[in-house]
Amino acid sequence: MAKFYGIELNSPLMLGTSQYPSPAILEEAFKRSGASVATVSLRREAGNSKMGGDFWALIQSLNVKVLPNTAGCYSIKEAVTTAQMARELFNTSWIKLEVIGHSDTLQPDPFQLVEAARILVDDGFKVFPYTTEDVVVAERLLRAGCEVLMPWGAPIGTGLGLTNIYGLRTLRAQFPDVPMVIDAGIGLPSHASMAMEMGFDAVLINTAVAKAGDPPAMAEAFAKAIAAGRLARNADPMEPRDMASASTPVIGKAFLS
Amino acid sequence: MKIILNGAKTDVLQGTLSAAMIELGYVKKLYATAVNGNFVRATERETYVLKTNDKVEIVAPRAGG
Repeated sequence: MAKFYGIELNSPLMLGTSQYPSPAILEEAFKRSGASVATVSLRREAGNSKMGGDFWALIQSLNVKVLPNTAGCYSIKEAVTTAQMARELFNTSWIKLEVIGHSDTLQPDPFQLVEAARILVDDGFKVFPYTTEDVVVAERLLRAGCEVLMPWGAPIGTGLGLTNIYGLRTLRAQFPDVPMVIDAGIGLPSHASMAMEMGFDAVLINTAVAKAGDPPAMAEAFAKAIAAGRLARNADPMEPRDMASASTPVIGKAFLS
Repeated sequence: MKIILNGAKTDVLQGTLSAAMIELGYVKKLYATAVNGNFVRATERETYVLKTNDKVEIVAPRAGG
């Protein structure tokens, strides 16, 4: 299992905490998934509100590693300030860095992403950059000091799966030793299994579980698919080929014509 | 004086960020703060003096993906 900034996770499944029908269902989904990481965010709080405290107590009870995000940030300054607030509040230097560049696709802004990553790495953060499958951007992020990459499978919340297999395969092959998490766009367990079969090290899922009719069951389905995908990868799959090749031996076949 | 607290005009007594937070009911430790887009550490709030029209953000943990 790949290490993420020196940390070996119990499970390659990272689970988001947003959009569940209830806190109890969120808790059950985490239990059945065996997820090792929970992503969280920061949002405005009213003075007399208990929301933040109640949510944080629930997350702490899950006994998983916390990965705060900078979701919704469109500028370097927003992302850096959000990361600084998250580090203090969640007591972790891990940050899932999102710098969004397009409001419809929620595509990351690669130019601001790289600069924000550089600033945060210099400030001691362990940055998990939400990026695309672009190899050049990946190289810039690594050069900025990122030791993990989080390429998208598809735009956030779409559930389309791995929409650019060629690009993701190229990214994986280009940086074989960099821990990579497929973030965003996963809709079905088969998508997650495919990501693991392709050699990615972990998968981050939120909407596909939280918006399922039965989130805990879907969380368990993802866990099993991810385990199957990883097992298959480690079992060294056969190479695909264009021409048929008989699996039953030809030698010894009776001549009956 | 008036400040902009989490996007809304809000009246607070002149003083520090820490004093304003207590005045506004932020009595727990589970907050992070920024003023005018810049992070203000918890340890700095008692000495950080607010000015009129400062944009204060007070955030707490929430669900995220």
